[in-house]
Amino acid sequence: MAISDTYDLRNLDILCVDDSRTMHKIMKSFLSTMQVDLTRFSTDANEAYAMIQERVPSIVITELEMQPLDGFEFIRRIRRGEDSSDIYVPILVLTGHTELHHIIGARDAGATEILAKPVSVESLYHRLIWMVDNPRPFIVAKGFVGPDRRRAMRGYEGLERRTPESGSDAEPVDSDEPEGDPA
Amino acid sequence: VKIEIKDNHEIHYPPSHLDELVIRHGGPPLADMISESEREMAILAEDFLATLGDSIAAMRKGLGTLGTGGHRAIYLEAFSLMGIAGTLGYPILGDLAGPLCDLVEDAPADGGKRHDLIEVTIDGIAWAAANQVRESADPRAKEMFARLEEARG
Repeated sequence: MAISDTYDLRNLDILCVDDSRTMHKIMKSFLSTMQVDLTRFSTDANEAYAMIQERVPSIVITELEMQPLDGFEFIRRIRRGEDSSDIYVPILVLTGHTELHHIIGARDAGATEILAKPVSVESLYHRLIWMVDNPRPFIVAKGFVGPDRRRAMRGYEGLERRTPESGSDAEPVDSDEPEGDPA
Repeated sequence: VKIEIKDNHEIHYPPSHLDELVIRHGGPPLADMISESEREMAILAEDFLATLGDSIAAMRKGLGTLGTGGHRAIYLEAFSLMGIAGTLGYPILGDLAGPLCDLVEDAPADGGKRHDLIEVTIDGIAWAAANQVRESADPRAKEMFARLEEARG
C-alpha cells in the first residue's frame, strides 16, 4: 500500500468483543476517526455470538482473555459451530496476550489476523487495510477450520520455525497449498 | 463458494466481502486520523484515571484471598490495564501490570510467597496514576522501581 493511499472504510460493519468497557470507548473512537460508524460492542462472547447471528458483521474484533467464554472458544464456535451464521467472517484478534503459544492458539482456533495491545489508530488502520488487501482461502479439515495457516499473518511470518511446541519445523510459505490438519 | 476437494481437507474460496465494501481511495488521511485520535485519547485518559481507583480497589481486595480466587480478580484487572494504559498515554501502568499478571498467575502455586511483591506492584500502579507519571523512564518513578526491586529480593 502506498503511503498516500486513503482507504474509505465507512461501509464496514464491525463487532468488537472485549470485557473492558474502556477498550470499547477506545475502539469506538478509533473506528469513528476512520469513519466507521456501524459498530457494535459486547463484553460477553456468548452475547457477541448471538449478535453475529442477528447480523453478520464485516469484521469481528475480539480479545482472547474473556469470561465466561474466552476468545479461543468464541473463534472456534464461529468457525465450526453448527449454528454459525458465517464461518468465513474475518476475525481480528486484538489482545494483550503476546506470548507465542497464545498467538499460535488463536491462529489454530481460526483467527484471521492478530494485533497486540496496546493498539494505536495507525496500527489498527494498517491491519484492517491488510485484511482487505490480503484475503486468504479457507481450509476446512477435521481438526481445523480457518484461513490458510501457510499464508502467514502479518507480523508473524516464520511463526512455525520459531516455535518448538507447534510440532513443525516447516516455514510457512506464501502459497495456497494447504497444510491439512497439522494442529 | 468455490471449493476444492483434497484428500483430507477442502479449500474454500469465499467471496471477499471486504473487497466489495471498501473503496481504496477517498478515506480520511492517516495523519488526520492520528491527530483526531490523540485528542480523543486525552479525553478518554481523564475518564480512565477517574475510574482506575475502582480497579485498584478490586486488586487490593484480591490480595486478601490470593490463591483462593483473589489472584484471578487481580489478574483480570491487571490484564485489562496492560491492554489499555499504553493507548491512553500511560505506558508505565502497562509496564507494571504486565509483570503483575505473571506474578498472580503463579500465586496459587507458590503459596502466597509473592504477596508482598504483588502488593508493592499494585502500590506502584496507584502511585503512578495518582501522580500522573506516564513513563517508566520518568525520574519520579525511580524510587518506586527501587522498592519493586527490593521486594523482588
